[in-house]
Amino acid sequence: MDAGVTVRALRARRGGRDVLRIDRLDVAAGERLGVLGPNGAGKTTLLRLIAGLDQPHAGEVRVGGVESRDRGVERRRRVGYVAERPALMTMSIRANVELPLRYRGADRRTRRSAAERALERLGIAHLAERPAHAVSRGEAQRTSLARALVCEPPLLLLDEPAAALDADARKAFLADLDAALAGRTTTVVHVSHRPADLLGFADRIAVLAGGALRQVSPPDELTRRPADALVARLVGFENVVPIAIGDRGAIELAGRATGTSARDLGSPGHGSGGGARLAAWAAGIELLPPGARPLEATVTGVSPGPGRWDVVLDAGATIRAHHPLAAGPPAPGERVALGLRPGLATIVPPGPEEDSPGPA
Amino acid sequence: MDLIWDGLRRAFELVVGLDATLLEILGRSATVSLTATAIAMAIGIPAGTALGLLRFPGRRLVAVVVYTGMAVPTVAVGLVVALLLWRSGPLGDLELIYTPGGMVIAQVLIALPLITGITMAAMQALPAELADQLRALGANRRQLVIQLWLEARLPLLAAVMAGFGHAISEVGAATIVGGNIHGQTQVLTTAIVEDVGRGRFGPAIAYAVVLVALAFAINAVLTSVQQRSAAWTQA
Amino acid sequence: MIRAAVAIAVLTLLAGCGSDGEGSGAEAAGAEGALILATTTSTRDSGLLDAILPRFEAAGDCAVKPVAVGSGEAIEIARRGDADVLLAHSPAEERAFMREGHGADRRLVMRNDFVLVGPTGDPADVAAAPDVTAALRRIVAAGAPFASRGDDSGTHAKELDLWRLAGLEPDWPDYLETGQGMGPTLQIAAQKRAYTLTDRGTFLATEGLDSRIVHEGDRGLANRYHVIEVRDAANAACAAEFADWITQAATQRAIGSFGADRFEEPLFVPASKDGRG
Repeated sequence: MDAGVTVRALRARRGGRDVLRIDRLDVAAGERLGVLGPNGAGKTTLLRLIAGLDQPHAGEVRVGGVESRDRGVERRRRVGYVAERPALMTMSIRANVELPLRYRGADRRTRRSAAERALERLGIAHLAERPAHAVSRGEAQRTSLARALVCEPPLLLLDEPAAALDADARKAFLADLDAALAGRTTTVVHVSHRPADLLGFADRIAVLAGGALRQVSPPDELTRRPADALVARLVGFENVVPIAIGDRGAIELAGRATGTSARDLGSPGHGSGGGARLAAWAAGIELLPPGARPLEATVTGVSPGPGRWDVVLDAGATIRAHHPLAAGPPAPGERVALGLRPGLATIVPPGPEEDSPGPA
Repeated sequence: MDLIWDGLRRAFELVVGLDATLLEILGRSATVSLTATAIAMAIGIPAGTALGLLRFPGRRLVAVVVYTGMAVPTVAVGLVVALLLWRSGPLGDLELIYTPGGMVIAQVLIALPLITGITMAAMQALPAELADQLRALGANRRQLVIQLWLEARLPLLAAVMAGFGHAISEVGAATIVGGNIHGQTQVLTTAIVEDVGRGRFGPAIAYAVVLVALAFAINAVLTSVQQRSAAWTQA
Repeated sequence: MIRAAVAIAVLTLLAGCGSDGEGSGAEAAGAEGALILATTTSTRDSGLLDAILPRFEAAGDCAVKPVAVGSGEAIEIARRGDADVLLAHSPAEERAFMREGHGADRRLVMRNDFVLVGPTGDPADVAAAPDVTAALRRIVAAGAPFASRGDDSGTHAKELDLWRLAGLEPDWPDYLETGQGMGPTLQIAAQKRAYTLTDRGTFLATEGLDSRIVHEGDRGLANRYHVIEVRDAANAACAAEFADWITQAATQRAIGSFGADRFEEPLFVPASKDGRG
C-alpha cells in the first residue's frame, strides 16, 4: 500500500492564531523524514494532523492518497503512532500490544501471534505477561513501539519517542527502533528536538520553527549548509555569531578582520548584505599561535571533552572550539590566533525571528 | 442496658431466623435501590464520560450542577419528586406517589449526581494522552469509550457502589415519596425510623444490622477489587 | 437509644436553665428545670403544643421538652421513666398504666372526636351509613383503600377497637399501614384516595388534603386527652406544676379557643372540671 504523505496549504489555528503553516511537504513512500524543531514549533501539531487525530483548519493532508477529512478511523488505522509518553493501559504488555488488532476485529489467534512477533522484534517478548506499569521507561516505550508496529502500518509516526529516556536508554532505544524497521519499507515521520536522534536516522530532515518549515534537506546538507542561523543552532552548530562582510567578501568578526573570505567558505551568495551570521562547528575553529591569523582571541575556559579539549574563547564574541587532545590544553588567559577550517563553517542569513518579531 | 440487650437478642433472632418481614423489607429495599442504581448508571456513566472528556459550551455549568446535586439533601429530592408525582401535580396521572416506582424515580435522582460526578472525575483523572493514543491505535468512538471505562474501572465501580449505597441508605425521600406503607413501600430505613418511634428496638436493630452488612459487603467488594488491582499495577 | 437522647436533652436544658432561670420563679417555688412531656402526635400536628406551651414556660422556670410520638409509645416512654408527664388519648392503655402504679395522678384535660375521612367523591358511599360500624362495613365491602396509622398510637388503638366492634378483619389488599403519624397518614390517604380514621383536630389543621369527613358524631368516636403525672418522675415538681397548669381555667380557655379563628370551630373542647369551675 502506498503510504506517501502529501501536505498542501496546511493551516492549523489555536487560540485565534496560526500555529502551523505549511504550503507544501511531501514524504515519499518508504522514506524516513525527520522533523527537527524547538519546543512549540508545531511538530506535534503536524504529526497529529498526519495521524488524523486532528483536522486542519485549511489545506489538506493525504496519506497514501487518502484525505483525512473523509475517513476518520480508516485513516488512523493506516498509521502507527508512538507518543513521547507511552500511554499504556493497565493490563499486561501483551494485551497492550494486542489492542490495535482488537480494534480491527482480529481473532484471538491472530492477535496472539502478531503480538508475539512484534514483541520479539523489539526484544521484549520476555515481558509479555508483565503488567504494563511494572516495566522500565525504556521497556514501556518499546512496548508502545511494538504496539504501533503490530499491524504493520505503512506509515509510522514517532513523536519524540526517546525524549523521556536518559542518554544510554535513548541510544539503545534508537538502535532497537532502527533494527525493528530494518528490511521494511515503512514510511516514517520522526519528530524530535534533538538533532542526534534524527541525523543518523532520517533520509531527509524538515526543520520546523514558529509553525513554518525553514529547510527540508538530507541530513548532511543540513550539517553543512543550514538555511539560516536558527536552523544552524537547531542542527547543533556551536558557533552562530554575527559577522560583517567587507570588500571582496572579507569576513569581519566584532569589527576585526578574520583573514577568511566568504569565498573561502564556499558561501559567496551571502555577499555584502548586513546581518549575516557565521555558523561554525567547534571542530572547525583552529587554535593557532598568535600572529598566524589576523583574528586573535583570549582563552577563557578549557575543559576535557570526549576525545578533545573543549575550549571557550573571547574574540569580541564568544567562540567555542575543539582542540586536539594530543596537543595539550591551552591555558586560560592565553592569547591565540583563530583559523576557520573550510567545510566546517559557513555563512548564513539570520533567522526571520532575529529580524522581525516572530512569525505572523 | 436491658433495652439494648433485649433489642440485640431480638435482632439476632430476626436475622438468624430469616424473619419473613425482614426478608420482605430487605427484598424491597434491594429491588428498589438496585433498579434505581441501574437506571442512574445507564444515564450517569455516559453523561459523566461526556462531561469528563468533551469540551462544549455550558460544560462547566453542568459540572457545577452535578456537584451541587451530590450535596442536595435527599429529603429535598423527595420533596421535589413528591410535588411532581402528587395527584394534583404535573405527573399525577402516572399514579406513582406512594409506590415503589415513585421511590425508584427519587432514588435515581439521588444516585445520579454521585455516579455522574464520580465518573466525570474519573475520566478527567485519566492521563490526557490516553484517549489520543487509543484513537491513534485505531479505536473508533465506541471502542475508545469502552477502553477508557475499562481503564477507569475502579473509580467507576466506586461510583456505582456509592450511588447504590446512597440510594439504599437514605430515609427522607423514601418516607416522603414512598410513605412507608407496610407491605408496599416500606424499606429498611423507613422501617428503622418507624420501629424506633414505636420503641420496637429489636426489629430496628435487625434492619440496621442488615443495612450495615450491606454497606460492609459493598466495601468489601470494592476493597478486594482495589487491592487486587493495586497489587497488579505494582507487581 | 431514646433514653440516651432524652438524657442529653435533659442535660442541655438543665445547663441552659441554670444560667438564666433565677429570679423569675417567684410563683412556683422550687419547680424548675427541664420537663419531659411524652405526648401523642395529634397535639403537635394540630399545632396545639406550639400555641399553649410558651405560656407555661413564661409562667415558671420549667422548660418543656415535648416528645411527640404515638400514644402507645408515649406511654411506653413514661413507663420506662424517660418522661415526667404524659398527655395521651388512649384511655384503655392509660388505665393499665395507672393500675400498674406508674402514674401518680390522672386528670381529664380536653376532648375532641375522631372522624372518618375519605376522598371527596366518597366512592364507597360511606356518608350514607347510619353509624360508624356500617360505615366501616361499606369500606370493606367496596374493597376501598383504607390508610391505617399502624403505629400503636391512640388513633390506631381506636381504629382497631372499631374494627373489632364491627366484627371485621382489616386485611384486604388496599388496607395500608403507614407506620407514621397522623399528618403523613392523612396525606397518604388523600393521595391514595383512601379512607382513614383521624382525630378532628389534626384533620382540620392539615393543609392540602383532597379529603372530606364522611362520617362523624357517634358516641363511640369520642377522643379524650388525659394528663398523667409519672410516679417518681425525675422532675416531679415541674410535672405537678404542668398538670395543674394545663387544667386551670386560663389554660382551658386557651385550649378552647385554639384554632377557632382558622377552622371556624375549635379543634379541642376543654374538659377539665377545674377548667369549668
